[in-house]
Amino acid sequence: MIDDHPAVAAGIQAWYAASDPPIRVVASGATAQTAWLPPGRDADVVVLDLLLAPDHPECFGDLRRLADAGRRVIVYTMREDEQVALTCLELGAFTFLTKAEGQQHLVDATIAAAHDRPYIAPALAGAFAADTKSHRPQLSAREQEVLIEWFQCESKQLVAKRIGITTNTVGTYLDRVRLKYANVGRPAPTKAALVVRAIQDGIITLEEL
Amino acid sequence: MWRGLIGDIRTPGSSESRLFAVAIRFGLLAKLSTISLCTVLGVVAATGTAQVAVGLIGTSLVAWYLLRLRGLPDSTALLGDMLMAALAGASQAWLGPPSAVSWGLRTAFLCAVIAHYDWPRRARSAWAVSLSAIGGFAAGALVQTPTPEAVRLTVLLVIQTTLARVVFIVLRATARAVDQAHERVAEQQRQAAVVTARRLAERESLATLHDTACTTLMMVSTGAAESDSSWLPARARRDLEALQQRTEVTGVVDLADLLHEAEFDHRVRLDIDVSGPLPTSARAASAILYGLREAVVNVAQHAGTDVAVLRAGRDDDTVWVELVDQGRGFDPSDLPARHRGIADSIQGRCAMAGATAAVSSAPGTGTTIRWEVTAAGSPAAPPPPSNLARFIQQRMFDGYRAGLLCVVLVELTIACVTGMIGAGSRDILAWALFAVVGAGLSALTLLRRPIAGPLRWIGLAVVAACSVILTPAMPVDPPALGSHWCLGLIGWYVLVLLLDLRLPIIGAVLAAHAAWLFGLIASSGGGVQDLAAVALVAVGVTGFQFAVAAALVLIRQSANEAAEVAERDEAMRRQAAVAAHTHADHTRRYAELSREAVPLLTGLADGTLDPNDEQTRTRCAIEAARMRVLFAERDAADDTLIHELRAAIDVAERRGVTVHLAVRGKPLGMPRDVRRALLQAVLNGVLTARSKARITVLRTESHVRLSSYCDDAVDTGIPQPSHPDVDVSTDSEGGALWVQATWPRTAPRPPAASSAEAPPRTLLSQ
Repeated sequence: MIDDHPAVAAGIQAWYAASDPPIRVVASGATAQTAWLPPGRDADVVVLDLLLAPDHPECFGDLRRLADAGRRVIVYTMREDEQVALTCLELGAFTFLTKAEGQQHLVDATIAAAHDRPYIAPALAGAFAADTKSHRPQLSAREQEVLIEWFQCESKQLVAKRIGITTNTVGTYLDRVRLKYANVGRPAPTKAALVVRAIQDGIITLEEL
Repeated sequence: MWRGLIGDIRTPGSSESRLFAVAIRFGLLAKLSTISLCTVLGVVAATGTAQVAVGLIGTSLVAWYLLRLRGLPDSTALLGDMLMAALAGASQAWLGPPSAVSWGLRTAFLCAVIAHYDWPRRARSAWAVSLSAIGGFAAGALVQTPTPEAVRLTVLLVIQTTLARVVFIVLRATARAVDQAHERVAEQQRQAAVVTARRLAERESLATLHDTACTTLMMVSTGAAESDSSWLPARARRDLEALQQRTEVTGVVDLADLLHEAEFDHRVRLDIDVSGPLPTSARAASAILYGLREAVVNVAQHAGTDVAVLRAGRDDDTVWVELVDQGRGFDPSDLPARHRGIADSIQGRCAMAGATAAVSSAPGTGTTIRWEVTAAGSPAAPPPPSNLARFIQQRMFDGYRAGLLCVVLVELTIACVTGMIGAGSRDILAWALFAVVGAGLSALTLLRRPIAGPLRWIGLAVVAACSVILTPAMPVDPPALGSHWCLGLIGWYVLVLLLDLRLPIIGAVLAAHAAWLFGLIASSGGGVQDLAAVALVAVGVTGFQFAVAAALVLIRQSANEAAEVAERDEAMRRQAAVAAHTHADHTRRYAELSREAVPLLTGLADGTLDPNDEQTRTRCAIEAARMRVLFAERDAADDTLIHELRAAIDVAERRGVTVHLAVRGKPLGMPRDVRRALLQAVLNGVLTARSKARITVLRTESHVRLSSYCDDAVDTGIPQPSHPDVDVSTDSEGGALWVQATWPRTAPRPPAASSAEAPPRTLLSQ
């Protein structure tokens, strides 16, 4: 867990301890070194606080190096804007969460990451929905709609009710969007792992990609 | 042109009306003076029957025009004018062979030419009178002795009459052009005045809204009436009155009285030290009073004290009001844009009403606000001089010059046709010089350059030199002299050259010209009859030219009057336009308030709404937020939508609700009513939240979506805004409320079963 604010680190540790199944924090520190040195080197998931301040110019570099080394990184940040979110994913971050999204999303995202399964929290859904980049993956109308509704509402039940599908299907659509993003742009081991797992899970077929 | 020759019907503008009025006056007076003078001279110059005829006909003409001066019905006047003109021309029958010095020719000329100014509105009548004169003369000459000279003189009469008509048309066209130009300018000014007035009224009404309804509703929504609500009904009633009032205040009031009578926030104890009378404009007084009320509310809410001093007095022409508190104080430069009490109510509104407000405060030292305004009845600055009169003068002047130049050029042509055949070298040289000057003047006129300074005097010198050159070659026999080509031409040149000078100067030069003619006859030993005959020509030609000059000077001087009339008319039209627009705006604004603010305030005033009921408080919060969005509309913000949204979020946060705002995508321009509808929809959602809410803004290339989600909403029953281009949907489950507003509307979503897109495989496998 990489966060330079001890209170945040302590709070996350408490959330993890209370989760089901429980998540163990093996190492915690203010810089990326924590993830490279034992015991952090063996962690399944890295939670990275992305501080894009002038005194932390190295953040994107840290993220890229960790992702290239096959580490599953969850970016957990105060930053709200979609460009940061999209850049993080492009660099190979597993998922992107804003600190405002809180406990449940972080716990769920961590568990999903540990199993190489996609996870899209509302903030990231909003970034995908607003993405206008030319190399953006081709999304279906329904996928785009689910992204928008999930960004706005954060209640999967209400989203499902509104669109007229089941809550599970909402999740499936979101996963497919995540996989399409994993399949474009810069290759990274984490992206490959996501896709492999998705094919195993039957969320997507090779032809669809 | 042909329409002008026959006449047309339209409402003349102010310059055109002035032209007509002067033309009529000029017509009658010129005819009266020249004909009476000509008659006297004609009687002297004639003998026997001719003398009697001139005397009788001349006297009846003068009598008739005197009668006309007193005013006659148009039909009678026209009939009489035609008869008199015909009689004047026909007098030639008794006056011997027609010649240039014949009284009959001169009077017929005056009647025929001046008719077009006498009857400016009715070209047909003018022509009827002209043709009567010409016809009369032709008939008279025919009865007398049909000589070639008679034919030549008749043709000349026709040409000169047509020329007079053309000049009139040029003048009228100029006047119309001036009126149209003025109308265009006035139209723009009117629009500007309406825009300004509407903006002022809008600002004032928003300031009123801020001080009254918005503040009250905010207070209710944040629970200010929880422990004690006794102050609320009176305040709500006062707010309702303020909202209904048209924001248009005029007249003078005593500010001291108003300050003594005014009600201020009950939470502050005011120490009032005001000595009257303090006469101020009602507009300024009301601006100060509103600002003062707001300032007292600020003291109650932010100063941390419940005591303030209100002082007012007068220094010379300045009335001042001061509100001083010894509270916490603040740094005026460090005030968030959303806290617009100070910005709008206190300073902005004063500026609108011609007053000033200065806030001096610093943390820890208390706050002093001082208003100043010029006392009513003090000498105000004089209004700026109108440049409309100058504009009219200049444009009209260009028109006169063009008209006179027409005359010069036509006379020059006639001179060439009739005077140069078999003429001597002096005549040809003089004509050539005239032609050169005429060409020069035409060039200057076409280039719209002034004829002034050395150019003017060079021109005049050339004309004088022509007289000198011609002197030895001039005939000394009166009829021959009277029909000499240079006779009228010189006078017209003088007019064109000296037009913008004062009348006595023009008169003196014309008189010199006439004196030259007399000198020619006198030096060759002509008798009294000869002199009288020449004088007749001098009056008929040069005197007429002087009358024309006098009329033009008269029109020029009346430009001020025309401008005044035009401006007065315009001021009335402007006032009417402003009143119509501001009234419509007020009605529209009040209609908007009638949906929610007015029912809420009415309920709070008469006690049918409980200020501590959760639903009422929520409704108050929503309406206060709507108003705050309106206030925020006037700020210059990079991202207007988000700026206005934050104004509404501010209200929710003041109620203790945690609001999370997530914005995705770039700002997108949209019409104001769309923005209002989007914002209204989400604030209807977010302000119902009891503890926390999530607001999202998603802007893609094609759509703007606003959404608010909260899981513990108060049910308000407020309908969502309806806008043709905005799609608003509300979903609720349990206590959760999700409001979505999308612009532009999306196509209706196909039902899931008939969706063209196959559901994901996993759905099938589950």
